[in-house]
Amino acid sequence: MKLVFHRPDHFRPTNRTSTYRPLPFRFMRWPGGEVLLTNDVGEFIFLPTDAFSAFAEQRLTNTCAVYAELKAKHFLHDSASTVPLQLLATKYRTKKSFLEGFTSLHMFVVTLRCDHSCPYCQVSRVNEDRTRFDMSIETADRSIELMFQSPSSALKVEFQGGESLLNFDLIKWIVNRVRERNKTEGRDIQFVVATNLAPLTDEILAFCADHGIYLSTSLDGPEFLHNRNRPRPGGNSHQVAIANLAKARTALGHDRVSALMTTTEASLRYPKEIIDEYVARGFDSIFLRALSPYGFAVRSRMAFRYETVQFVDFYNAGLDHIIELNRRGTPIIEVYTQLLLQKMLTPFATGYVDLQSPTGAGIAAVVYNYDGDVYASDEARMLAEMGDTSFRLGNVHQDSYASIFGGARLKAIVEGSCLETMPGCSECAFAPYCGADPVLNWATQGDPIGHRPTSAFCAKQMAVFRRLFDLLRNGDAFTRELLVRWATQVDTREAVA
Amino acid sequence: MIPLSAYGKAENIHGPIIGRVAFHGVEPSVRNDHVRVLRSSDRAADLCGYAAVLAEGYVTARELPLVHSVSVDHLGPGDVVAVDPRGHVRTLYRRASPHNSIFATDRCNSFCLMCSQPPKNVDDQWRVAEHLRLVDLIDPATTELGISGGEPALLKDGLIDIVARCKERLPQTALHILSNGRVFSYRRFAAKLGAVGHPDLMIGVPLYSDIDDRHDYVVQARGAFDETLIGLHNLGAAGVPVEIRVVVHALTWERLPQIAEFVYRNLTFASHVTFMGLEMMGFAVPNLELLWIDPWDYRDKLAEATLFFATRGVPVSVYNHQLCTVPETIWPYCRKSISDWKNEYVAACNGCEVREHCGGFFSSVANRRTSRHIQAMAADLTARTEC
Amino acid sequence: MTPGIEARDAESPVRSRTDGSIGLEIDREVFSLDALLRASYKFTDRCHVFIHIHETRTDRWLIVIRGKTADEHDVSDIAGDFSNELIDQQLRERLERQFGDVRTLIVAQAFAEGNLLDAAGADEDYVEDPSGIGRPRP
Repeated sequence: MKLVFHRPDHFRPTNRTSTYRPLPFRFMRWPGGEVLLTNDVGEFIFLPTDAFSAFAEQRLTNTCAVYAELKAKHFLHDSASTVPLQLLATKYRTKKSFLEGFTSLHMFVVTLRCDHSCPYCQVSRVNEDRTRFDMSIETADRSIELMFQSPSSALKVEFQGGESLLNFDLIKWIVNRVRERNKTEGRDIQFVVATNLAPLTDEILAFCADHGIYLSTSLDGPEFLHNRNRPRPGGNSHQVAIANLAKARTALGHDRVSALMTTTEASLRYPKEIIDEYVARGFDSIFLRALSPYGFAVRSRMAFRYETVQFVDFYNAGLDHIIELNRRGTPIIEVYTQLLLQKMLTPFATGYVDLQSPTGAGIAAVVYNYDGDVYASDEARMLAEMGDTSFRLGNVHQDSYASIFGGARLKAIVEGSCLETMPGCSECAFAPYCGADPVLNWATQGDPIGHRPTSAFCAKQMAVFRRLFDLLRNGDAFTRELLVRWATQVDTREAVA
Repeated sequence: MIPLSAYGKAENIHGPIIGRVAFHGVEPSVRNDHVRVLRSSDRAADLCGYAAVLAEGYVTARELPLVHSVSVDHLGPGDVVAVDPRGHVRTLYRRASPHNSIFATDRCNSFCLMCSQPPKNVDDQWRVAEHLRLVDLIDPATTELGISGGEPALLKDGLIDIVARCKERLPQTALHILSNGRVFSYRRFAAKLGAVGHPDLMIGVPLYSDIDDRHDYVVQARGAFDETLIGLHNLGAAGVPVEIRVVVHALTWERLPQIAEFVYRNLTFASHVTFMGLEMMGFAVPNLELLWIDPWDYRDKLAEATLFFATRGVPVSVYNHQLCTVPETIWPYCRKSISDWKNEYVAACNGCEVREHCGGFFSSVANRRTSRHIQAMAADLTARTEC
Repeated sequence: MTPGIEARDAESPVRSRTDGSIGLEIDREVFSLDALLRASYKFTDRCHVFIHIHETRTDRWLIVIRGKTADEHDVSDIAGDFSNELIDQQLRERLERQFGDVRTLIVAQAFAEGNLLDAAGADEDYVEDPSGIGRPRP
């Protein structure tokens, strides 16, 4: 055999004029003379303005430096091959894989009774007649029935309230019922109890230990802030929570108890203190959640927007402090940042139902209220308590699985929450990283589609994305590596409620 | 270099014979699977019924398939050899070695610039029968077995049969097939391989760029990049584990980080990625000027690409690089990967305190090029070589 | 000067109106209604946008932008941003024409069971090898 090796140009066109076509992308002008381009699967590239113009106007030559980057990242293709499209289709499917299995998070509101009276909660009833505001066994059974009609191979059962432990008997009933039923179903079941920890007893802990149940509690910050946000008789919510946190960790294991914070106006001044409290209490992650608009129905739109600007300051200061803590050897992750970075830096989907396109409300997560009403999300339930049932999908005693999960109400919600078709979002370069929340839009702007230019949520998201891109590009080596590790070394298929 | 071949004088051999090496007698019912080896010091023994006899000294026998006057020092008990009418004794399998590989076929549909086993355009489908016989004779306690070539997938259903035979006869043996993946762009072929259900199978597939024409140039075949990617996807869909192998040389080193990003984004199902040093055999020799770059000069890109995967929790390894030619940050990922039969060290390695962690060199390097940075390294580095 | 946006006087493409609003004339040959609406949408937080067909030159729109805050300087800035945004929206429309179909195909393929992109090739016989993938290098 004659040894003939061909030169590079045998394998590509030699002429310098490109015959490339752009693949689907979105762009955003960036300060400093650059343009950010993103594709549908979240790959991104920054181009200098003139390179972008050349690319968009088909003037880019295939020998120039950015051409290879654009081609490899699937922003352009230059042959008749369908392989780039097949790869994109596979990647797209992976990004939307949170849709697989349909509804996997099922929240059971076992009671509205609660000993706390947190101003940001609209649902709790203190000291009320227990039969009126507790879920009945019949309702629980019907809800379980519906839950198992979900095709999802993994089911997370989350007990909510009020204070769910005040109806611990029903929690036991549901856990046992679900486990019994699962003997034939064979799903991967996880139980979580959302609780303020105040009613915790040894009996409860023993049951949780036996059944591998996780606890999720509220910790809003150091004592002065937590107690201010979360009043209860005796004013000692923090003290009780911390004491019972220790008991719970001893009984169940350190990693079986997690905490969430709710950010209020008061919280906004104390990002460092809140984070330090989490570190002091032995948590290795914190979720700097945005301000909730619920429960402040009388506030004007502009006031909410102003607070959102303040939230961005809070978030930035918090993230800086967290990075600094990490630099000094304290590993603590900010969960929302981690979530966004997963979307930006990995090919994988994320399971956070409040930031998906289409929204996860109803299709990924569902709420069975104490009275049998079914809601697309916890926020939808809260709206109903305030008199607005726009996002009520049906009732477990009256409606079938098909009409609740396949009915017109849910379909309308889903159809109206695809970023790819929403004004202001469809062309936004951050679209692959963002999500739609029709319940939030409805509550704050009076319309499930929402109005982007006046949307506080949009303004907040944009500010956060800009910050993260800035850190990824201009942060020091430690920061950049920290953020990449947050994004990539986690089981991205875990649903985050 | 450990020899895998020996030549002697053949008698009564009319076609290829394969058997398991025995230095002592075995019972009559299994002699048909064995090749009896007679050292010069052995007394004549009962040689009836063996598949063949190898005699170190001069021996003659009527009707007995025999190769005499042949070197046997390199053989060990349990090895499998193939003997042919010309007196050529090929070692197909060495029981004492962790590096055994079935040479599937001489044919290949690529023509890589650095191919260490240049292809021959011959019809060697006959090899399938030999490979199946070999699998029957391999010790089931063998932990790992490779299949390479040429391009093993060109055996088509023959490869499927070999994998199925391995599943049946060697269920505890991890099977590692080296393939360019192109034939697996036929979906049904990949599905068929997946359907065999081998319990521990891995296909190692090379990728040399994130850009189609640059990969095609290295493998000297138009359309190869596309076919390989579709093949990889079909294997992934069929549930067949794959690993991506990147040979680092002058034509690939500059885009290593971009290749890493491409693999991470587009081949999420890959179980493992390896970055490999150039083996200066075969086509690499006439193409040396085109391919050679001192590894010390590409060390930063290699480290960047390796750590890209490590940071993301993707299993990654660096093969065929001496520890003194790469940054210490990636020492934990350097493996001792050169097959024992072609593994050596050079004079500069004397006194090197991390030698036992280092893979050394290919035997072929003796008269070729090595990095200007080869040097003995100081100790206290064991911690850095643990992953 | 930005093509399609006419200067009313030599120095400025933007016309100040007596009531403090800004007028922009947009060439309908260059900019589509869709691009105009998309650009206008982005400014509906800061200003009111009135879109008319020009009363005398029907090949143009007349866009009147009135700031929600009573600050004349603001409105001039907005007009400049508006013009740039309009160009970007027109570019997006052109790009969408180039790859809109491909996006539809990619999404369809992502959720399809079969191979929409290469239906014939997907089931070819690997033994016959009609694509010649297994052919040795000549």
